[in-house]
Amino acid sequence: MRLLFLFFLQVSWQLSAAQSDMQALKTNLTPHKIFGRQNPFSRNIRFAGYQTSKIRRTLGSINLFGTINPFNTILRFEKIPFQYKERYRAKDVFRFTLTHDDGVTLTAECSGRLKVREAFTLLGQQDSSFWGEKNEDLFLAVIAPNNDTANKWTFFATNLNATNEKPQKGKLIRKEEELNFELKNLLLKQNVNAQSQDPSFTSMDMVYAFKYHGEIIAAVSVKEADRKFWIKDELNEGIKNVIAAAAVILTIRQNIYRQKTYL
Amino acid sequence: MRVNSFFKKFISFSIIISLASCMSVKIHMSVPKIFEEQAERLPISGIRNNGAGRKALSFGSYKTSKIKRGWNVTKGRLDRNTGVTSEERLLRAFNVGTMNTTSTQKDKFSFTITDGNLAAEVFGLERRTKEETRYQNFRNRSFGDFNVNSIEKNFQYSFSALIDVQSVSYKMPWNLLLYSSFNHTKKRNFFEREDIREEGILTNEKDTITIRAIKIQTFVTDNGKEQTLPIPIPAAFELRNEDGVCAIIDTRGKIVWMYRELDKPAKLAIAASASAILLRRVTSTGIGY
Repeated sequence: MRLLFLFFLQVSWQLSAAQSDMQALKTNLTPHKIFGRQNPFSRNIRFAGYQTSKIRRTLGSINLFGTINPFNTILRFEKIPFQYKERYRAKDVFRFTLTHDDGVTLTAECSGRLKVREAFTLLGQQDSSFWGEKNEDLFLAVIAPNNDTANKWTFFATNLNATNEKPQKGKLIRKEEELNFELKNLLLKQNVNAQSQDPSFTSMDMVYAFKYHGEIIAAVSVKEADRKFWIKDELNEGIKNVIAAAAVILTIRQNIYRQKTYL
Repeated sequence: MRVNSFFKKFISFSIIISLASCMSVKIHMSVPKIFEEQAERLPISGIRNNGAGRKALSFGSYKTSKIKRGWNVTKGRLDRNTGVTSEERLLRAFNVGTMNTTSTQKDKFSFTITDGNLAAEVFGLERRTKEETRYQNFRNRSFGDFNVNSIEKNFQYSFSALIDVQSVSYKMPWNLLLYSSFNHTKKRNFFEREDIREEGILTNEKDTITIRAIKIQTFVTDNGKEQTLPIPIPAAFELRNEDGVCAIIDTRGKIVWMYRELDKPAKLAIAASASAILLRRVTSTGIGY
């Protein structure tokens, strides 16, 4: 009986895996390469007929604000820390304008805030703060079409700086409409080169996948290297524009979690 | 008693590995008897262990053209962090500076395969993107770049191939897709090895064949002796259509087992897929620490 159950479990797992593969192969998301942002002097990006301009970042986005803990220096022998605590706040506040080839313009005002509360102890047991569980990471933005400023979309996301194990996800909301996005590995079509119009090959990419009514309708690469944007062609223009703006936010935002400690 | 059995397993594992590497003793998987009776055994000649090379392959009535290979390119750059690992947190505590990098490796190849009557053109594209944390070993910091170590955090591997069978019954080309991925969040501790398995699909919209990597522990040598390894290792791919297993690709023994009752164009598509899978050069499952 148990063997029969295991057999059906295996068959159903294989069928579901095959179905998900088929869905991946049948996704009609068109790939577009994201150009620009290859060096510090080219901050603007362009993709799929969209072009950013007027990217402005506040001075506060460069600095970190925190408290200096004297015990971090005292309780350290040579390079070995017996105890170490870090508390700081960082922010990334910026705005930009996004223009499409057909003349539609959107403006986005964005604010990412990170509060770090991390601790490490050499001799005791690590508590949840070592794994970043006490960190607070929130990103908020408002996206407004210039010709219809009353219909603003609110963008909010959590854990974009990946300081803990929680999922990196967010939402775009306007009145009763809602779009979700989440970081995941997805099988997506890709062009062999920039000239080819027929995306015949498939690759696995780490993307922020956008869902609308339970269906994946767009995706944007998470990593800076080999950036791409995928979108379903049949969507209405309003949704396409707001997804493009959200893709720009996720592309040009800074990672504000520092990798090195400063005593 | 337990130590004794573990020691025996370890010795047998060492002997098999050393025999396989030094004396070129071939090991292959043992196929179930029921499938063996209904399938053709097609040993592949002309292939190297790592899939590299441009030599033509031949097995049974199938022959490929010389393999046309593109550049095997790897590009890397500093990138944003998509997940902080426990190792990174420890390095931070010990005040060791780290860098987050992403590198993409791409390889492509094409060839033609024929069974004497039908022919198929195959175009394959491999891609592996990996994210890693690079840090300098603080004991010998003066040695600079020579002492840079890295921790691989995640990777995404995909192999996509187009198989265009020139046949009246199959107008649409076959699409072959194999993929695997790894994420550090799935790993519970530093010493644990993640069980990374490749999965895939071969489809032409009319028919669909699922592909699954198989790990096995018991092998057969050329002399017919069975050897058991202490841990299961990836050894084959199982191709399954709606009727059941239709082919097995033994990647260790370089043997293709194909179900006899399949029609000729489907057999050619499976033979083309088997050749393409064995000709890959990019690491698809390993994690490098």
